[in-house]
Amino acid sequence: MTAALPRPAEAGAALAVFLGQAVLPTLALALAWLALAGAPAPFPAILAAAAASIGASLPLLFGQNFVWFWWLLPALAGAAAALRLASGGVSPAEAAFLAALALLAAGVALAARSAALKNYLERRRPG
Amino acid sequence: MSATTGAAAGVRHAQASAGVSAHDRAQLVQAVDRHPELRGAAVVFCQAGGCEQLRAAAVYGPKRIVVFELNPAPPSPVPTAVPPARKSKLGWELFQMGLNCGGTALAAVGTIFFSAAAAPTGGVAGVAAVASGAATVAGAAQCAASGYRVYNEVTDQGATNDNLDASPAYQNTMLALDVVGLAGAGAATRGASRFAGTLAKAGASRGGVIAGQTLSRPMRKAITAGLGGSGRYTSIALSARARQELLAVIGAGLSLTGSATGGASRELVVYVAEAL
Repeated sequence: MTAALPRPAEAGAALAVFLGQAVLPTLALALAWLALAGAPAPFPAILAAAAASIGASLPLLFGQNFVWFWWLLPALAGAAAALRLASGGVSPAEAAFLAALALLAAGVALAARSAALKNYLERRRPG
Repeated sequence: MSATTGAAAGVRHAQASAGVSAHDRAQLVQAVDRHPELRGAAVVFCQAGGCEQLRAAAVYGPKRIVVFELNPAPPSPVPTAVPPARKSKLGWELFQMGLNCGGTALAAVGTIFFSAAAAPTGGVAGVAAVASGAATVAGAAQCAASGYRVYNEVTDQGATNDNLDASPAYQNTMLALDVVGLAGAGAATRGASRFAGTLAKAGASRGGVIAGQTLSRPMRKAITAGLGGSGRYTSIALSARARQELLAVIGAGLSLTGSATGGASRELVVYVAEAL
C-alpha cells in the first residue's frame, strides 16, 4: 500500500514483456519443429515449452526484476522463421504469421529495453 | 479362385440372385462339368463370408474343387473419391486466441497495475489469490496453445488440430487448464462481490471509488474494518483495489466465455454466480 501506482505506459510495458516472454517462445518452437522435423510439433513439447517460458516470466508479474535478455526473443523468433523459410513450402498465410511473430518479438524487445519498464521495476523495488 | 471361362458365366448368373437357388446350383455345376478337366470336381459357393458346398467331389478320379466367391457389388463408377474440402476454422481459432489471450492480459494487468498499492481485501487473499495466480498461468498456457492451433490452421489446414481434438491427452490437459481458469474466475468474482458488499455497507459508491473519489475518514475506516484490515486504508489504495477487482471481473468474463465456447463448460458445467 505504500508503493505508488504504476503509470499506464509502465504497466503496458510490463504486460507486453510478460505475455511475449510467456507465449512467443512456444510459437518459435512450433515453427522450428516444423522446419527441422517436417511435421507439426507434438503437443507435449508445446506444453513443456509453454510451462517453462511462463514459469520464467512469472516473477515479472509480481514486480521482480527478472527480464530476459532483450535480444533473446527476436533472436528465437528470427531463427525459427529463417529455418521455416529455408525449409520451403511456406504459404502466404504462414508468411503473414511469421511476419506477425517477428513484429511481436521486436515489439517485446523494445518494451524490454524501454524506460517505462525500468521505471516500473524501480517502483516495485522493495524499500 | 480357380474357375474357367465357362464357370465364370455361371457365376455371373449366380450374382443376379441373393441366394443360390436350385436352378443356379444346377447351372454352376453344369458349367463346371462342361470342362473335361473339371468334370466331377467339388463345387463350393461362397458369399458374404459363408460357403456352401454345391456338390461333393466324385469318389473316383482326381479330387478337384471349384470355389465360386460372390464379392460385394463393385463401387459405383460415379466419381466420389475426392472428399469435400475441410472448411477453414482459422477465424474460430483466432477468436479463441483472442478470448484466451485477452482474458490472460486483463488478469495479468490487474496484478501488475494495482497489486503494489491495493488494499488487502481478503477477497482474493490466501487460497483465492493462489487461484487467481494459477488462473493467469493457465490462461497464458491456453494463450500459447491457441497460438499453436492458429499456426497449425495456417500450415496444414487444421489436420493437426483435428488430431489434437481427437486426443484424450490433449482434451484432458485443456480441461484441466480450463478448470484452473474457471476456479480463478470464480475467485475473482467472489473477491469483487465481497469488496462491493463492503463498499455498500460503508455507504461508498463503487463507481465513485473506481473513479478515484476521495472517501471520508469514517468511510475508509469502515471499509478497512469490513475488509478485515486494521487502521485506515487510503482512498488511493481503495480506488486501486476497486479497479483491480473490476479488471478481474472483466478477465473472468472473458475466461468464462472462452470455456463456454471451446472448453470445459461443454463437458463440465461450472456455475459461477455472484451477486455484485
